[in-house]
Amino acid sequence: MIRSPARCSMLVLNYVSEPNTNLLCCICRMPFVDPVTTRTCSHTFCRDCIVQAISHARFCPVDRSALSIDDLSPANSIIRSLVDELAVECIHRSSGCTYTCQRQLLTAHVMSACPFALVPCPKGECDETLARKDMESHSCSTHTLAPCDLCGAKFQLDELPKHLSQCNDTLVTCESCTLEVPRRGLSAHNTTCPEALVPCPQAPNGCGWTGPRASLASSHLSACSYEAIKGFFALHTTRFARLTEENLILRHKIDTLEGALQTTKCELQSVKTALGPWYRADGVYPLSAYSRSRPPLSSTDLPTELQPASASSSSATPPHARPFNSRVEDATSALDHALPAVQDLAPYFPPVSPEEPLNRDRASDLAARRRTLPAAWEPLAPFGGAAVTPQHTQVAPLNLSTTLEGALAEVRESVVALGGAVDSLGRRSDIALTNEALRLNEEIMSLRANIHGLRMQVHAIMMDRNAQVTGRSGSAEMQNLSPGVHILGAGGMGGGDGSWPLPMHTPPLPRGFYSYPQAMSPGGLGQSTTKL
Amino acid sequence: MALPKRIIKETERLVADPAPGITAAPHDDNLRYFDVTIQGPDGSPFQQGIFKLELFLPEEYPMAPPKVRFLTKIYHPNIDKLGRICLDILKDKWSPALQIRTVLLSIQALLSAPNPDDPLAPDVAKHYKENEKDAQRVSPRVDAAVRVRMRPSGADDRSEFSLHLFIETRHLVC
Repeated sequence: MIRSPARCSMLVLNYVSEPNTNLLCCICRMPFVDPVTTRTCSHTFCRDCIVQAISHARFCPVDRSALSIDDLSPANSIIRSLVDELAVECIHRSSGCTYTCQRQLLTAHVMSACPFALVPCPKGECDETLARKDMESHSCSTHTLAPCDLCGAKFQLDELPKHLSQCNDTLVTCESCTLEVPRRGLSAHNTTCPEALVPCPQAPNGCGWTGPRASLASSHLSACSYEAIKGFFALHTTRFARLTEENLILRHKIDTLEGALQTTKCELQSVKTALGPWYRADGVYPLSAYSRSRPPLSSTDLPTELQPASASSSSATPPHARPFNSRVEDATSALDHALPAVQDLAPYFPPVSPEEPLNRDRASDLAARRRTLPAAWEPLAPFGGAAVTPQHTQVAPLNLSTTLEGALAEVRESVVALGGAVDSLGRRSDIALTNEALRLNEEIMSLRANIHGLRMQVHAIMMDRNAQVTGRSGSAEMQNLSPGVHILGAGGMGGGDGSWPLPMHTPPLPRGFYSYPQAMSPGGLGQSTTKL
Repeated sequence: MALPKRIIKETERLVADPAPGITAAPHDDNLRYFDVTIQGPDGSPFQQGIFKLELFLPEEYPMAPPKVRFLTKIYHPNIDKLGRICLDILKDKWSPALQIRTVLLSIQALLSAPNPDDPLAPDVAKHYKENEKDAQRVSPRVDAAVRVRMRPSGADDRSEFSLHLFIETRHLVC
């Protein structure tokens, strides 16, 4: 059962005087609280008491007549007034409240006025519950500010002792002269206190004296041997500082250079790794015929034709002082030899000098063009004999100063050009072969015509002779002989159609061209002549 | 749970203004437990006797009746050998308007007016019905014997007499 605070307090009320027994509830034996009267038997009880009793047994506690909750009705207002006006003591009498009032007024007293009533902290910031009379002096440690007696600043209660130990206005005693000074002035006092122990001003230079400030000026300074040569100390200190500073700068420079050197070494190492066999240390000149004309790594990226005479001459001649751009070849050869000093440090520096890129680029372009075109066309100009002479072989130059990829690209380009050249050479050979074959055919035809003419002449001569020898019969023999000649012509010449076919034993063309006249004599013509 | 104010008031009144022939005192360690003595009412077979009882107020009191039991053996048709009492107001007729005082007065009245029609000890009730005089003659003797046995100590002249009686009439009780 839920009871309101007021109702709770009613159950423990102390009545000032013993109430009339007619006003007592027979269940709780106390004056009625919220009295109700039964309609059936007109007995009066506290409402809570009779409700609880009915829940246990449904009859009237006084006369045991049947009773239910519905039979209850509020008691007569006279009864209500009588019990409400009974004088009661404050429920906080045990705490000290001597207040007495009518019962109906007690709740208001407790709730709003009783100095002994427990109420929560009005600021709601602490969990304490305290008597109302103590509220004025209540100081929650969490939210009440208290002023510092010395400096006037306000602090929370629990922080005040901590503040007092640090307050700037607290008087503290100087350790040297026992004078009491505020904490805020202590440091200032320490710089002037005559009793404070101070070292000699020359302590950095080695004076070990320490004593009261008062006796420093009066006695020590005049006797201090360091003080006498303090001018020397000053000079010495200045010089030392300068040297130190200089040393510092130099050290910094060395550090920087070392760092740069380290970086360069790392880069060089990576370049070496990347180049592999392309890398050659300074001063190592490979002596092979191929690279004899090559300058050291950094010297140039210009191509050089490997014609032995010009190569040996260009590497043998001392450097000329001609202008760079007079002619491309001259410029490149001059460059090759004008940079010996650079060559020494070549591995450590980028290959292209900043003032030269234009010349070099243009030269390399030109050379590349010149390299590709003649490589394709030059061998064709001296037809036949020139193509097979090994002395005129042209090799695409390697450019060691570009990156490996560049060199590879150039080599690939050269290979492609070479492939093109070989291809065109093959085609050209085919054309030449065809031409040669045609020419030979024509020559054979003319020879055949000649032979035919000769045969005809020989035949005519023979006929003439036969006619002269035999007369008419000669003409009959002539008739017999002519098929034999035809058979000889068909078997010797290989033709079956009566025309003049090419000779069957024609040898392969190139050889045939040179050796045909010799071959013909033992061939068909020779046979026919011997037969004839 | 705090003791209800009603119990406090009842206890105060029982101690300060006891009913005639009845004493009730709460235990110090349990204020709901009372030691009760009831004198045998004048004009009853138990007139000479002082009967000890125990009374306990349950948590529901006053909505539930108090629990009362005779500690002293008594030859009564409504009280059995264990001291349990057959009394309607201690059972279904309990009313919260009743009090400890009224309960004890009712028990005292039960001693003067046994009710053999609603027995708890059938043999005693039968005895009463058949021969009320004889039963009433037995009652004080049994009572006296049992009372001596219950008394903690102390030998007065009456106890010797009672002990003699107890030995003599033992067969009547057990």
